[in-house]
Amino acid sequence: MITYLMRRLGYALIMLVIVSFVSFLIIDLPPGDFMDQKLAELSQRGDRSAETRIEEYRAKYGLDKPLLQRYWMWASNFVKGDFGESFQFERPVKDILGERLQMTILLAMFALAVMWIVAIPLGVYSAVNQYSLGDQVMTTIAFIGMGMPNFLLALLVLFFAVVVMDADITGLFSREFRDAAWSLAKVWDLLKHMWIPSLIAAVTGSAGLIRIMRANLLDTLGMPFVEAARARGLKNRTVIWKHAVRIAINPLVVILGSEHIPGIINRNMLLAYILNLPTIGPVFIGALLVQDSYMAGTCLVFLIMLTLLGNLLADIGLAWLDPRIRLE
Amino acid sequence: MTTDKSSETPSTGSGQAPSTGSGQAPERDKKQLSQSYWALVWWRFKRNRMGIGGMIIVLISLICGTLFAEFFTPYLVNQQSDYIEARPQWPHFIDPDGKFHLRPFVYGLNEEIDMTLHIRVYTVDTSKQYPIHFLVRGVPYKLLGLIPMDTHIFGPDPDDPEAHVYIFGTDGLGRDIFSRIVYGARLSLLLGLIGQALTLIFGATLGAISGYYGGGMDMFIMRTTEFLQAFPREPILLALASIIPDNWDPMWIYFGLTIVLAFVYWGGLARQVRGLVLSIREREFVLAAQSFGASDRRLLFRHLIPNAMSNIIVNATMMIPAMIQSEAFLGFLGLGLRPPLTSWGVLMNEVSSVRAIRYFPWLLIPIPFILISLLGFNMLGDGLRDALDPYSGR
Amino acid sequence: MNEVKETSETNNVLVEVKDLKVQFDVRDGIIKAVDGATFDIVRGRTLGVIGESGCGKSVTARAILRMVPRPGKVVGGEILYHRRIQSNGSEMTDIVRINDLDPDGTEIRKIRGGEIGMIFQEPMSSLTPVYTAGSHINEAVGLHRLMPIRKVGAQMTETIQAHRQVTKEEAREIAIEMLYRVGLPKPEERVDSYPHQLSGGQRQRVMIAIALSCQPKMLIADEPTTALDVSIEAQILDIMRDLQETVDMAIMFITHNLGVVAEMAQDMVVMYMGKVVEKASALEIFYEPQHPYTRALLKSIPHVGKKSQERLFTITGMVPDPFNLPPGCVFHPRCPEYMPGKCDRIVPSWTQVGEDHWTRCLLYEEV
Repeated sequence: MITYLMRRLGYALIMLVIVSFVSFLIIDLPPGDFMDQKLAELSQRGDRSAETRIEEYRAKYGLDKPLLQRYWMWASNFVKGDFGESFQFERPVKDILGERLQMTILLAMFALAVMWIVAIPLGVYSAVNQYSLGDQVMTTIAFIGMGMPNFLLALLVLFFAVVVMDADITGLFSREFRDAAWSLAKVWDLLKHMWIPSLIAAVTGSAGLIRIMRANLLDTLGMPFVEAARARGLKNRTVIWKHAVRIAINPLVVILGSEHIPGIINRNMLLAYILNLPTIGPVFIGALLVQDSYMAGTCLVFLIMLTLLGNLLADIGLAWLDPRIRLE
Repeated sequence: MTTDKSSETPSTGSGQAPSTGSGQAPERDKKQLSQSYWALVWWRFKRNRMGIGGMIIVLISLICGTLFAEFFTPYLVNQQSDYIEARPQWPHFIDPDGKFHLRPFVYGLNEEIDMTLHIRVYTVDTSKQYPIHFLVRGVPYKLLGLIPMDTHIFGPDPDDPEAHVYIFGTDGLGRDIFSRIVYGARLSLLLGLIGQALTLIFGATLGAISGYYGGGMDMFIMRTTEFLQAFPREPILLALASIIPDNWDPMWIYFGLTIVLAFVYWGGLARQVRGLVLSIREREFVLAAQSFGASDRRLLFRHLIPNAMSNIIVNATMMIPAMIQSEAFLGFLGLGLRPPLTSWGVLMNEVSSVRAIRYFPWLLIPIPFILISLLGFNMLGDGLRDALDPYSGR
Repeated sequence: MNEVKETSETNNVLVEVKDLKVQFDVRDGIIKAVDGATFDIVRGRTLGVIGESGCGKSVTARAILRMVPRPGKVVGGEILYHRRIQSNGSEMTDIVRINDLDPDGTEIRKIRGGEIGMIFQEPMSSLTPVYTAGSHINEAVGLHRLMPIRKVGAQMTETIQAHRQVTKEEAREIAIEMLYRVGLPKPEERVDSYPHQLSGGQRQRVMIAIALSCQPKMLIADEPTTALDVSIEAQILDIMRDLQETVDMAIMFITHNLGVVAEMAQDMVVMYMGKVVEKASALEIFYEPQHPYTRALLKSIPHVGKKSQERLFTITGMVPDPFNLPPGCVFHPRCPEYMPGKCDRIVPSWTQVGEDHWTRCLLYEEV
């Protein structure tokens, strides 16, 4: 077990290094850099010393140095916990991400909870009552839900909120609570705002889960051990949940690890960007768009770490759930 | 899923009497026995309502959008007008006096300036009625780029210079949204198809080679795909799309985007094809062909790939929506295709601010169209999968 | 409504199947999976049910436990289970109409496993992969075995006042004991094995152990050795015979293998296309078969030592299309004793042809 973990960790580290370098490279590829934009901005404002200021910035961030050197600088600092400074905000990346980490995780947890609490029972119901009206309706809804990209859905929801209901659903807090200290009222405010993005984020995910749960359970219900369990006098409910679902759910655990964990940032990025939520997603996208190298690079590395971690957890989880897989 | 109940597969004719089959069984079985593989596939596909539905949607989109967009729209894609950000003119059948007209019409618009919000506002003027004419003479164009025509499926009265029919409103440059949606379909769908074709060629070939030859080549290709797949999809798309310079010729930008998409998506397809090839490789008919002395290339192209083809087609069809989606999201952020090209992504860019949504919500109308086309491809892919692979469950 | 009778009246019959009819409603029509099955299962004896694949034997077995899968349903006949109970110190027999029971109700679930057990054809996949052999037995035992709580009453006699469920330790002991009895080596280790760690023969033994741990009065064995090697098959059959003697259990042994049935069964029932075509003791079936189908089946067993010039005997024709059954006797297109004008028009009824020997053939009917 230990050797297995060691092997995975080693592999993960190598991947991280390579991937972070390649990411850095890609982020840097577009012609020009962040400073060109800033230059344009400053000039527009009539700042005469714009040019020299830009030169100062360039020197400060090392943008005048070759890529390899910059990468090395950043990477060596990274392992010490210093992720560089964001060009846009002129603050350490660590601070900015740190502020947004809480909300990111919270939103992801909410969305995940909604997804699983909704999808699993519906999927089970669908499979057990195959071809019933409920099943057909569910399957159709799930199918439609799968084809709906998060961000389009977010735009539509935004439309309803803004135009039809004249409400402001951007952000996760109302103006009064944004910088206020934590209190019960603030928590309630958060919940009031949180449910819309969570719901949107959960739609596509649940749809997929429902279909997979249904398909897996249908396969499992046809297996001999289900009938054998019933022949021993177990209640229908026990046969389905304790025996069939217990087996059918294993592939979903893999999905939980390999897709939903990195999805904490990945899936909800664009959605958060549109609704301007205080999570990591929007700043990541912003950084990518304007070539805020250190910010973008750091986010990308963390995202990849999450992916690797998620895969590892998925594999461990699967082995824990399914004794057939353990002998490795 | 509305596929049929009985999990029968058409019997391939052994000595046994078929165990399912109705009273008219003998006839149907004869027909099944003598049909080719593809005919059987088509027969199964026809019974799947969802697949047929999907196919219809896709065909309509392709015909109206990709091929004959000029005909199906009243205005040209970049035709500007003075009606900037005008609200939609919904067709009516009953006029203010309560009279029913067979020919639908729209009301004219009056332009006003809202002083507090500093925006143009258009109000409906019921005194001006513009009937909608069908198969009407309009702006000239070249159908499929070759045939000069000037008939449009519907449009304003060609003899009335004041008449205008913007059923979905206009955008910031006074261009008809409805027309732009249809034209947008052209580029977006085409992008999906071409991008997928590229992915297919590249991914399937590499996957097949990887699976067939195994060994070092297999390791190398698989490690590469694993590596590529470790990158999160959207950020990489973003980053790669940003590389395409703004000042390139639009056609090159288009081409560049197709390459980017293919680059991001080929890995998944390659792995699937490799898996398929691996499982087919060991089957008896391959060994039989080998024993006849068939060459590697012959085996690969005449035996392995056609058999994997069905799965490849299904996977490819299911990936097209992903590409359309990617283009839409890139366009929304201002990357990928840009004006003067018009795609759904470009249309999405125009609603990238809350202000736009609040004051010009009709700019969101492309969204349901995008969703429907995505759904269409998904349905088609699902129907194909059920028809091609009888063992994949319901 | 259960009928309760004095025990002596009902002799030793455990389960009575009377003219059972089960139909499957499929898209293309109705399949009569079981169309008139009549037989009895007697306490302590083994009934062999023989027939080709698809003749309805498995469906019949499942009907007894009210487990016919959708879209099938029982449309005729009765299944009666004679349960012996203690009532006021004497033994009575409670006759339970299985057809009337709710398929998911408490009554039938008490019977399933607890009074009538069942083992299946595929030991490979009849055990839930994530639970150990021990857990399976625990689950079953927890459901069906009740330990009596003995109290010493006013008259200093032991009376059984109530029952309680087994404790975990007791369950584990029972599990190890059962695994030992089915011949698994090192049962105390095997109790914690997962199904994939056991061989096919071992898994089937576990299945038998699970079934027996609930002390049922009858075991339905649906082709239990078909998927096993011949040598393992022999071992399993031995175990089943031993256990039957020890616990006085009836067995309904379903198979298509005449050799196996000859070893195991005292009584036999032959099925074809959902109908029971002959019923008699095993000896009578093998030595005095009356129905042409039974005779043909016996003839088609290859004999070692026969002249090698002769072709193997086969039954001509094919099993008919279930939607297009032949009129009259359903076997007539393939019957060597076919009587034109009779067999293709009249459906034979259940006729007695000897002491406790019944068949369904116009050869023996006065028409």
